[in-house]
Amino acid sequence: MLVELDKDQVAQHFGRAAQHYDQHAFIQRDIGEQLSSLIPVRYYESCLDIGCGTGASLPELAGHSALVTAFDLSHQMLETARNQISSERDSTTQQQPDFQWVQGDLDAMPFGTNSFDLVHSNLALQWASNLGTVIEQIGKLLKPDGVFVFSCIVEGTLFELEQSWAAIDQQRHINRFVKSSDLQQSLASAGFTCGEVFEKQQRWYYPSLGLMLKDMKAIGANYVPERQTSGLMTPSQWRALQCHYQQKFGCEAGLPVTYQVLYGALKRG
Amino acid sequence: MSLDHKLLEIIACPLCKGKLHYDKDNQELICKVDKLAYAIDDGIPVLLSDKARELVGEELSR
Repeated sequence: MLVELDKDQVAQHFGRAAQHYDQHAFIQRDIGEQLSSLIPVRYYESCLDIGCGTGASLPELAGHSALVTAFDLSHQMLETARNQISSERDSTTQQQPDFQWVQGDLDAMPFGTNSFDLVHSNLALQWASNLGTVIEQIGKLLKPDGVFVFSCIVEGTLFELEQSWAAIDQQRHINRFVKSSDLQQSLASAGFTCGEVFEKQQRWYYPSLGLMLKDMKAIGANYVPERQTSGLMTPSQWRALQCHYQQKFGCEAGLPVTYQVLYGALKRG
Repeated sequence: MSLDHKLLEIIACPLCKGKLHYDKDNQELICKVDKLAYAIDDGIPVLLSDKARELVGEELSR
């Protein structure tokens, strides 16, 4: 489960995507909404959102917790999220909970032990260099009765794109995703044994491969650590990719893109 | 902009997880163990060790 990631590049990648992120990120939002339905309803004193992005989950989390700490690797993402929250705040007069903003790396989380009673993470854990250690750390950040609510994309995600690329060249063009069984093993090792974990295959359809790749780029899914070349395609590669994807996977609804998502709402046993 | 005390209670050094000391004048968060100063950028603590400044000379004895 060790992946060498250049975190500066990851941050820049998402930083560049920050302004255009929300219009492309309907998949993220969709998964985020399903995730929020898993949050056990009770009062939380302090909540951490790991990989908050542009802050799509923050209003929901604010409904559960008096203090929400938004955490991301990208400064631009945090700025965008903060602006969004403050503009929403201006339009209402009701008392809002407190938000805090922290820039950092999920592989070296800058928080003390027993700091939160809810840790939330929508589609960010796949960016960990060492997911096992990250989950162990999350166990320490949580108070004894705290809840960890997450979604994480696992192996099988974007298989259509992976197979189409494989038909064209030998290079890796998309992320290598963690195995669901490895992630579940890490959760168990960190003591997260009470609650629910389930895997779901979710599919969305795009009218064209161009739009799909643009979305993948906007969400950072095309950041590949070991890619050697600039990532630019030649016109003939592009035609071959489109042709293969369309012939092998195309259907009436359009071009499918599959996400394999592990969801969980867990406490330590 | 001053950092909220509630934030200071939960943040820690990403390396040693020890408490950070808030240097209000310089708008930095100090870890004495790792001899690092973390910047606060537009009110947002930048708690990345590779972006932190190493403490030097007399700063260490303060």
